[in-house]
Amino acid sequence: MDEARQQDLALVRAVVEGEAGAFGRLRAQLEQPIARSLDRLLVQWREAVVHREDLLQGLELHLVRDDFAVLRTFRGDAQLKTWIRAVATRHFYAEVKRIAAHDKEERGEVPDEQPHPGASPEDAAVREDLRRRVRTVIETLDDRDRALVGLVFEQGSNATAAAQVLGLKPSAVRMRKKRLLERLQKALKGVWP
Amino acid sequence: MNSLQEWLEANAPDVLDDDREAEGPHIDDARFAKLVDAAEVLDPQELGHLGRCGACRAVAGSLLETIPARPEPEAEPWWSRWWRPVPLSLAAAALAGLVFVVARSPDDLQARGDETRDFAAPTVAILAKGADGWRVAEDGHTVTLGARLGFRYGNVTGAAKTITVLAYDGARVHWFYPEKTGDPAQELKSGKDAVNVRLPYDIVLDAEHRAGALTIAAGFDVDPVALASRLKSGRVDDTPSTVVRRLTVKEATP
Repeated sequence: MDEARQQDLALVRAVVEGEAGAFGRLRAQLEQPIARSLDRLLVQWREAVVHREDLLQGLELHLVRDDFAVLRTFRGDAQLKTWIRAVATRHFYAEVKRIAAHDKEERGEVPDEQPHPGASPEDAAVREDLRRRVRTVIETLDDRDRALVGLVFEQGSNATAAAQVLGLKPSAVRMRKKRLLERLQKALKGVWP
Repeated sequence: MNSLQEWLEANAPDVLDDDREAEGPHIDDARFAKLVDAAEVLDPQELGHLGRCGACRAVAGSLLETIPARPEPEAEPWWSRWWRPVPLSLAAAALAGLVFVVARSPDDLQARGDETRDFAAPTVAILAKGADGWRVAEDGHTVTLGARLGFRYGNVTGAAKTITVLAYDGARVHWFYPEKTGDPAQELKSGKDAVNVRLPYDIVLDAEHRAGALTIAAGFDVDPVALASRLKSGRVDDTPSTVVRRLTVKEATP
């Protein structure tokens, strides 16, 4: 294990053992990756922007709860700041989805079926037809291509990054993306404006 | 209306239809962190889950954000190259080869002393991942089809600017870095951050590869096309500027 990982483990150990000042050091070290993981989600879930500070505090509680149960699962297999980004993103994702669903319920909307503002019935029908056709194509994709759609189009991952976890070369990611767009264009012929 | 790509970016969560429960357990956060830091690949079950789970994709997207994009080589139309004077290129290649040999001959390097070689020269290690994890691939090692190859380099003094990594299996040259002929070699980092740098993506010995001998050459500041040519003709030797490893690839056992 390299020196940086050993330092990460030592810091986590100091925190769970209650060493004075250790939590402050941990917070200072992880503040930026945690904030980034939240702000990334808030771009998509704007309803939750007003809850930003609460969400950050909620994560701290999540980490210290049950005698640091979550923090104790850190084993030093990866960098602490990478690990915390994963933990924080999963926590924030669940929270912002809950907030969004709650807000919609309060407004009397059915969750995830918000009408497009100002859309005429014809527009809505075209939009729905478009979605249905795209979904049909997506359903025919193999697992790797489906994951690629999620990483590249939804998450905005670059080809180098997506290639790393998908086990492809970046050029193969770019090629698959190009082929998928071509398939979609074919499937949407006459519908795509 | 925006382009189809922009539409898909805006509507991906909807068309991926995540409301249906994703199959299997979530991908563990520690596993995600390891995927990024240790350059591991999702297994088939994880891939299936990722395509259907918005929470896991959000985690993946957040972690993958830390990996910088490798610049996409600009496409050059074929007609902008075909007429270039071939004889001039051949002469230049011959001259480059001569300069290379003179500048990098073993005698010359020996004359500079071990200290120069150890501390100033860039280094590269070829890694192979087998059943027992990652190991440095030395001459004569056997790897299995489906295995992953990774590459680490050191270039603290900035003595090298680029690296080219290619392989030859007796039938064809496999382009690892760069990914295809005509692309520029991979640029290297330098300075204190370049002690032990992993190249951005690994190579999977997939269906494009075959069982048998596989010679891998990793060369600093070499012309990729010239290295490919030397590799094919068997004229590539292990030198301080070009690391050569001769491996054996065997079929995966079911």
